[in-house]
Amino acid sequence: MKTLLDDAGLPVRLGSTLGSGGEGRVYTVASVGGDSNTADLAAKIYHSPVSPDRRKKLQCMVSGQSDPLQKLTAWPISTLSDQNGSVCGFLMHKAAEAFPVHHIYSPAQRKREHPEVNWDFLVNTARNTAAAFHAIHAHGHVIGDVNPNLVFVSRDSRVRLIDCDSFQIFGKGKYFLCEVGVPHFTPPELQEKSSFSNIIRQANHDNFGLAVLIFHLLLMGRHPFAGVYTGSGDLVLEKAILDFRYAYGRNARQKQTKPPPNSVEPSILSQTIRLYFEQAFSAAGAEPDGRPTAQDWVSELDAFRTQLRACDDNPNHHFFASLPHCPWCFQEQHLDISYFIPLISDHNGGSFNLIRVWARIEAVPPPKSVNEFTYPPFSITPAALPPEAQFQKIMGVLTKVMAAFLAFGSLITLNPMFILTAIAASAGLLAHRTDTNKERRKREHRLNAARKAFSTLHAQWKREVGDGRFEEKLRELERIKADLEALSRQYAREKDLLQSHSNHMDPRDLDRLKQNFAQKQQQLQNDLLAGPDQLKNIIQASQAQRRSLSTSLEKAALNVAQAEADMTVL
Amino acid sequence: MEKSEEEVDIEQISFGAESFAENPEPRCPCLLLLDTSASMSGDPINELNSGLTAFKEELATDSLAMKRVEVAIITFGPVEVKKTFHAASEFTPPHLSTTGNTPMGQAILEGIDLVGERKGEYRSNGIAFYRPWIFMITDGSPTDAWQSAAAAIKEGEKSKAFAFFAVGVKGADMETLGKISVREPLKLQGLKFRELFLWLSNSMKSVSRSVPGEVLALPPPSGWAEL
Ligand SMILES: Nc1ncnc2c1ncn2[C@@H]1O[C@H](COP(=O)(O)OP(=O)(O)OP(=O)(O)O)[C@@H](O)[C@H]1O
Ligand SMILES: [Mg+2]
Repeated sequence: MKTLLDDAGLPVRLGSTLGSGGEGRVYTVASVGGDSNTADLAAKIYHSPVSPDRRKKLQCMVSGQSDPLQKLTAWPISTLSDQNGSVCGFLMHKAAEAFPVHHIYSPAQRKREHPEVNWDFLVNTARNTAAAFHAIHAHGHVIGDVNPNLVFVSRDSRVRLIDCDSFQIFGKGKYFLCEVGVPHFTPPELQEKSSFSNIIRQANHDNFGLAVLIFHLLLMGRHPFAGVYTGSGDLVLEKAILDFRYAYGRNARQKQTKPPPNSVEPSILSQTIRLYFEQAFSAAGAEPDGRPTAQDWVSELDAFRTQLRACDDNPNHHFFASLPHCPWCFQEQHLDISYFIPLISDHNGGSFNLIRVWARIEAVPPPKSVNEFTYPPFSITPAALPPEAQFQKIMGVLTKVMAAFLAFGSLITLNPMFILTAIAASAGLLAHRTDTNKERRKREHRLNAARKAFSTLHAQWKREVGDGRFEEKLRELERIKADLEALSRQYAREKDLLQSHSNHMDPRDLDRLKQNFAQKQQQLQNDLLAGPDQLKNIIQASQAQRRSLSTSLEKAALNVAQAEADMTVL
Repeated sequence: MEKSEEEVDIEQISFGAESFAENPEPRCPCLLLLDTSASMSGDPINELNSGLTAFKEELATDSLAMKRVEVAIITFGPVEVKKTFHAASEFTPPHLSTTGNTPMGQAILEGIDLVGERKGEYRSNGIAFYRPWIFMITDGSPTDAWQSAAAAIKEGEKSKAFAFFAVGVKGADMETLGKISVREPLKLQGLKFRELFLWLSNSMKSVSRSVPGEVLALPPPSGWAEL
């Protein structure tokens, strides 16, 4: 790696790549001026030479840095220059142990990768995001390009905004513009602009994107304008934003839109938050300073945070305490969607994560489906008849001729000699018959036996070598999973029952019930945990079986072919 | 309590609806129409298969694209829907083998239907979507009537219902492809399926987070197409 120098002239050594984007690549920093205590730093190096305007923008950002900006964003700390003295990037704080906010507002990914994140965490994240926006606005800057990769969240729900070099910066009496934007987060008043290259962005524009981000965080990753359009034709999201068709809004019906089926609606939020959304997504919001500001959001979300409570039945369900029921239990019971999964301790003291365990089961590749059993063409010579049968065959022909002749003779002559000879000849004919019949029966018997042996083996092949056993096991695991998912609901029901039946419930009954369910749960979890290995064993067994069975099957097929050929000579 | 039990029975939740609730990100559908006719046997089909694996691996490096891009696969011939639309995170590349002839026309028409159906599901579930891509790869010429397919493509491109791309592998009838596709068909350099799919994956990533303005800056296909 070539040497880079920071603003103080200290050499900066880069480490590994953290990420890469359209404009640059971001690295860890191995050392600055020989000091390797730089774990909290990152450096962005641009793909192409830095223009004078961008250089001035970076320098302006460095000189305008402040404590809040350094804490809440990845603000440039120092520019970085190459050996020619040209600016090629900048130093910033690293978003350490953090992930883009869409990893947790998207329910499926959150449950898979951050199952410990509950709704209270999401509310906190929304609040912290608003606080970071506020810091930017308070300095006279605008983010401009609000998007799902802007906000990085750490495990304690603190956020850091990245990609700051694309922000609109106000400094030295001028604006350094933000020339990009993602349509789904762009306010209606900018939707029809063909480019951002000469537009001065306002904090009120950011406040649209902020409201959209907060909506995603609080309401399970839904976009406020992604509703079901009841008008004709397609309605793209950009157009829905432009037309103020907020799918959950007061005027949604008039706007020919409604919330998607099974979505979680803003009714689970406080009155003020609902009003803020209405305001941010309405025509009034598009007026100058029309939307709730970042600071408004911070104060309201701060108030809201203290009004959450945990559900009695599922302690990992957090919700607005003024609601009559837990909205997450409702989703589970009525729509069969579990947004927040319980982390139950298992016998290992660790925690059982159904989504992860199930992902491991699904990751076992099913065995290649086995085609029909095929075997090479056999070249077969029918077995010769035994000598007696062969002799009898020739004799048989002769006797037949003789007998016919004698019978004819005896008919016309009625000579007793002829008659006697004819009887003797017929007996010879019969004798021959019995001999070949014996051989035929023998061969038929052999053919039947060979066919039976083959079909038995073939059935076994189909059963054991194909994906039959694997599929069977998978179905069984699916049933176990369903049982496990139903268990907490079943428990809640039985608990209700217990409580409603006795005015003075014996706490020991409840304990027994709990214990009973815990045992069931343990059993089901263990069964699932064993799933991946069981599936792998089935595949291995089927491969071994395949090798041994295919040899036997080939032999059996050869036997059938031989026995069939043997029949042809009779 | 009993009343709600009843509601549960009546309210049928389709698998699609459930997974949309768990991943409501806007979708970016990508349908692959893949020629698996006998002439593709040997190296071409092997390279195509490894290209598909590279496609998935490349998409997997982008967690937003993983939630947004949906992949479906139709092979021909005979025309067979190998994979219906699923989020890239659930997409496992199939192992394709060669068969039969090249009923390209029928494959295209079925593909357009599949895309249309999926869009219907997005609409009724309140899922935003980007313009679908239909990406066809062939090394031959259609063995069936392709004129109505060409007309359907023209119509779909005009109404922006989808974007149709055709890529010809060595031996492809580029002239007919040019009549079928509104966009200029591209010719694959040798067997650079891997490069082609890396490009496709990167294009899908940019589509799934486009910036305003009609023209989308796609990476140049110079790494795999004869230009
Ligand atoms: N301060 C940081 N700490 C940790 N990772 C970072 C930081 N800044 C950037 N990254 C990582 O690097 C990636 C690219 O960064 P960034 O978005 O700033 O680049 P870009 O080239 O401007 O991209 P775009 O074209 O999307 O604006 C980010 O998505 C992120 O994964
Ligand atoms: Mg940038």
